Amino acid sequence: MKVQLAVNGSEVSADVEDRLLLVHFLRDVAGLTATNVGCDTTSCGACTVLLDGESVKSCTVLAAQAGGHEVTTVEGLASDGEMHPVQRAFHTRHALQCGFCTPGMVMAIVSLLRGEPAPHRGAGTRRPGRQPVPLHGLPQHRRGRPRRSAGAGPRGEGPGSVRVIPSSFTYRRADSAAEALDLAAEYGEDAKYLAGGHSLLPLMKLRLAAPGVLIDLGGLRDLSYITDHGPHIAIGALTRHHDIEHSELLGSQLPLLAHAAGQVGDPQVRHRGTIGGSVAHADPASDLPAVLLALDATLVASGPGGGREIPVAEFFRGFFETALEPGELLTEIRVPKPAPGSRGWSFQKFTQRAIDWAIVGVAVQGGNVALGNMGPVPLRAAAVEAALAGGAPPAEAAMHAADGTSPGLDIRASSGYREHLARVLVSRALAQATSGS
Amino acid sequence: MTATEQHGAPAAFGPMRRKEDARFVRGRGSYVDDIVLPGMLHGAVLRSPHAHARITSIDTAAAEAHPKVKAVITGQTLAGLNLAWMPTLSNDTQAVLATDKVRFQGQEVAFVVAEDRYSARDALELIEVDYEALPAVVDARRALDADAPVIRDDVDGRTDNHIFDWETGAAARTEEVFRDAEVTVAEDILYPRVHPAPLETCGAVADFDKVTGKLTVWETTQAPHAHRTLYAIVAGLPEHKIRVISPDIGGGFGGKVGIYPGYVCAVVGSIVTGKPVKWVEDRSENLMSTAFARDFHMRGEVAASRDGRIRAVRVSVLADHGAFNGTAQPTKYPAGFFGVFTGSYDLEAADCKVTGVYTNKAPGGVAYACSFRITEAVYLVERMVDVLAYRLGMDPAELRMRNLLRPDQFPYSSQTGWVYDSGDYQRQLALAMELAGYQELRAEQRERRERGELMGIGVSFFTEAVGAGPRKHMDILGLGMADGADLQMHPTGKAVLRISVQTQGQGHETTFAQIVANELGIPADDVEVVHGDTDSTPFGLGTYGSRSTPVSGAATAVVARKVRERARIVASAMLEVSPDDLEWDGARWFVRGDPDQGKTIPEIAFAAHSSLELPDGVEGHLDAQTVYNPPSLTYPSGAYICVVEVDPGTGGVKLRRLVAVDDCGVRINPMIVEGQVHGGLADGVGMALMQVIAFDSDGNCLGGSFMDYLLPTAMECPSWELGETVTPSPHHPIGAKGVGESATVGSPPAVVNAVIDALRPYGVRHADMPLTPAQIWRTIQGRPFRTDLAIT
Repeated sequence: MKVQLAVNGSEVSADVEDRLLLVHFLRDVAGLTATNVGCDTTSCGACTVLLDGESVKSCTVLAAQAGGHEVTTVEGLASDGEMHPVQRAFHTRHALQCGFCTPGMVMAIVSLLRGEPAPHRGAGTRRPGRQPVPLHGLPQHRRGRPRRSAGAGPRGEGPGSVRVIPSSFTYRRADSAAEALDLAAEYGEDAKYLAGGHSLLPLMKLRLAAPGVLIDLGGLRDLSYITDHGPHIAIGALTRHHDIEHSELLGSQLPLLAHAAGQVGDPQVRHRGTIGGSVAHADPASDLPAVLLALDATLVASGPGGGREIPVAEFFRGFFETALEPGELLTEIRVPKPAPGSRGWSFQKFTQRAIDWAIVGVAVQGGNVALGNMGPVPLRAAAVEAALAGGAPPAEAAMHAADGTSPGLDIRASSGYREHLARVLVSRALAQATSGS
Repeated sequence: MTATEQHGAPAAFGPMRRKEDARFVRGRGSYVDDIVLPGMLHGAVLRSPHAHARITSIDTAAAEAHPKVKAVITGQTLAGLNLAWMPTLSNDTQAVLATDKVRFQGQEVAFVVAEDRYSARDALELIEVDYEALPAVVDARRALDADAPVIRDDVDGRTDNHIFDWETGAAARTEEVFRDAEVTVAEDILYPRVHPAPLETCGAVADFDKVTGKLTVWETTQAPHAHRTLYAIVAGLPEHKIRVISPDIGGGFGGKVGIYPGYVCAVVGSIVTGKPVKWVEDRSENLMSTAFARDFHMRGEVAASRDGRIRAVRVSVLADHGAFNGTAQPTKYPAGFFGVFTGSYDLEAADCKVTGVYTNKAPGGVAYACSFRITEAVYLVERMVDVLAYRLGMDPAELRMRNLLRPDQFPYSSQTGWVYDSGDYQRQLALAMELAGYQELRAEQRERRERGELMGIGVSFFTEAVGAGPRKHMDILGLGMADGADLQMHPTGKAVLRISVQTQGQGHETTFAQIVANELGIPADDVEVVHGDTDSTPFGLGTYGSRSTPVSGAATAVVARKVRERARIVASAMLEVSPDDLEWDGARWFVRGDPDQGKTIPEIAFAAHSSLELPDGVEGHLDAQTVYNPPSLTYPSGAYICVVEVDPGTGGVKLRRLVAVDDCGVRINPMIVEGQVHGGLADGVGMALMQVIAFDSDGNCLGGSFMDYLLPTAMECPSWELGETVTPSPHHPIGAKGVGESATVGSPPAVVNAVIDALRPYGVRHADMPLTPAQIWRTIQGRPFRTDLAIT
């Protein structure tokens, strides 16, 4: 397919494979080799570039998705050889060693400083310019973990199946929701919707998913909104985590959601990932599904047969499985404003590193308690809620947090440890929610 | 924050900003994957999904039929060229592409050459390999069981998985001390398998020119000259027709010392297709197949007096070397420099036995920022000192202070035969304690323990032996560990220094220019440092084991002094005095007693190229060469103090502070030294708290991506607090000792000691790294995990 984009102010256009990653477009087609691949799994951020002025990881964006947009690489940052202030700071404060991930770090920080003049977390910039970035080219950003470890698997599914390049597919961009539904109908079960791509593309790169057709929803700007409808707030499915995190409306009315969105991944992920994509992907370790469960949200979907509303409690059906029918498109998330007396909230995400997926996550809104990564689907902690409703003190109610759960086991945690964490985190969340209400 | 003591460093030494940054911050570095040649093809490696299996058939027909595939190479192809196996750095053999069996998950089985990188990877899926799975040896502690499957049945007569036994120290004498000691302690301690994981994976571009017979290979290598010689020996190519270029390297950490099958496949691919071939591995390939580090299962014992005098240390080690013994170390040292396990203490006796075994895991055992197993040795002894302190009820800093070597004991011959060059250990530890506010921290800890909070303070003191090494004792595959340096002086006084070592981020282009500048009194900006190309640099063994400054830095100082002496002769002709009447003032040769009469190096350099009449026998020009054979190793040391808080609910660790007082001798560029320390501290935090390459019972690697193999980020690292003492190495020309690995060596025991100290209210004396939240939770319950195996 023909892809045309503006790179560092110049139009670059080429006929490329639909599956070409943006990083390879930049390196192999545009000949801009500053941007390097470090991890292949959206973990490290070495490949960070600006897409329309915001940081993204170019190993997890298709060249086709970037078509028609502006990309800035570190080569476009210095003017006439004069260093950008961030580059100069790296140089004067000895913030680089081998230089391999330096372009990505510089671009991540340029983006962060544009969006948040006084950043408080993320992107290796806790103290911008003060702390040299250690030798290892520390992966300052995170994630995109598929459910399975990339390296490990049952016999016969090990590294032989790891390719870090997606299988071939056909890319189609939808310009409207109606067109997306038409395309889905045309291609049937071979097609998958692509929103930000930060859950799906990592799986495709590891060839754990190989859809024949990707229908890119990135152009559906009309599905990116946050609107106050009185008793509830409507959020377009393609609203990005970054926009939710920074929404004043959500910050005042649904602080749990705004806060949790700011905990998803890292700035690059939040610039691409969308609330609808996260919910439809149905990863039980994701942050927002559990949050929406605690908030009693309603999901709105459009399909060939028209629209319907699905209570979030009925949406998650199994491991990566939802109530969406083939071809059905999630269009909106409606979140009721908490009633007076239920305004206390807490979000407890326990991770090994700041940028990791939750080993266990807990979202509390009033008396609603939801758990992430405690089974194949995000769960409401029904036994805790019942105990609270029955008048049990929060600390006592929290002892029921693991009741009815079936947490898995991986290299981070055993099932027993996850059950223990659920009790500890629910107890802390209830204490925080109570003190804050 | 830096606490600086006096160090009398010469004028050209100091925190000069790095020359290499000019290209790196603009993205103008040139790494192997940036190399593009006309007609270049792309290679990809098919790897084994099994840890141990017999290959019954390989069918490449479908892959060969792929329209963009140019060649498919298998072990059979290579066997026909006598290249199916290659020597390892430990003189074992390693399969380039498997012919008989696969022996670890991720082992190389076939190589596809195609028109682009995507097609090459697509074609891997078209290769059909039939495997007959075999039981895998996963647990090193079972490798020598009578019924363990024999991994290396390619070697005639081999009936077990035993590689070597090695012993150092004095067993009988040590046993005597243990027998009459008032107190003895013992502990099983694992230094788990970790991986260097440089952000740039390994790769090569090979270009064989059939007309000239010349092979040019761009490689991610820390040792380009050694690679050239090995290619000549392995492939039978004439050495003068091989050019190895190591361009900008995106981190090495020891992982880019050896030759990997992918490099050899790229070379063969280029010979077969007649085109340049690029091969760059992905992250999973890097973590699963390239050289690991550590994997030492140790039992440590200490004998002491009741009042805290450490008398003897005894260690037995089971070393897991993976499927091929590829450990990087000098030939006479199968366990590297593990002999420094006696630490920084004056002992009466010491003894150590190491047994190496094969397992169905990736080969390696590289000097991952450890100078040949020193990391393991330091971790063992520093953990054991804390175990002893626990037993004696003594403060661990006080116990160390009581036993550290005194300045008057240097040079000190250890019980295992290592001659420590210099140090002022008590002063160093005292400075670290002062910076940390040690007594105040202990007071805070007492208060917080009363409130039920878990706060820990960890101390470590280490001595490294780096700068390998004297060629009489040290070689790798027969190549002595000396390094050359050439210094060319242009007529206008600008210099070009050519060195054999290879920077991977250490800043050689700046530091080595400063060494020349210091010796010749010219600006460091006037010195260009050339490295990484075997066609334009002198022979040497490369950069690892903190050897660049101790060996190549010494060569640089020596060659600059040769230039200076040549300049003296020319200056004497210019000033019409005897050379004996000239004195050097740091920037000029001047006439003794008449300081106004003098010549700078640029003035002399021009004269050396001019028609000035020179004394008989003087050739003109100032250029010089040298080869530096280090007389001994250098012994950097460090005193580290770590403060942590442990969440008793979750087991999570918050790293609050890490104080590092390093003594690496004279500091050439303190800014770069501190950068090296910062990186090493972060590395050590990763090992102590989050990193491990573990395996499940089938031999599946559980650390095959950065989603599972965790590197600490700035969010997990405190603002490092550094200090320094300077005891110059007496035998190094500029008194420098090397620092590249110090913090990686010293920080893991400091962090682990802090966490274990925090867990003292639970009666915890030891738990193995990595101290993940899950491991801490289990440790609190008295049943820690085997961290080298899958969690159950």
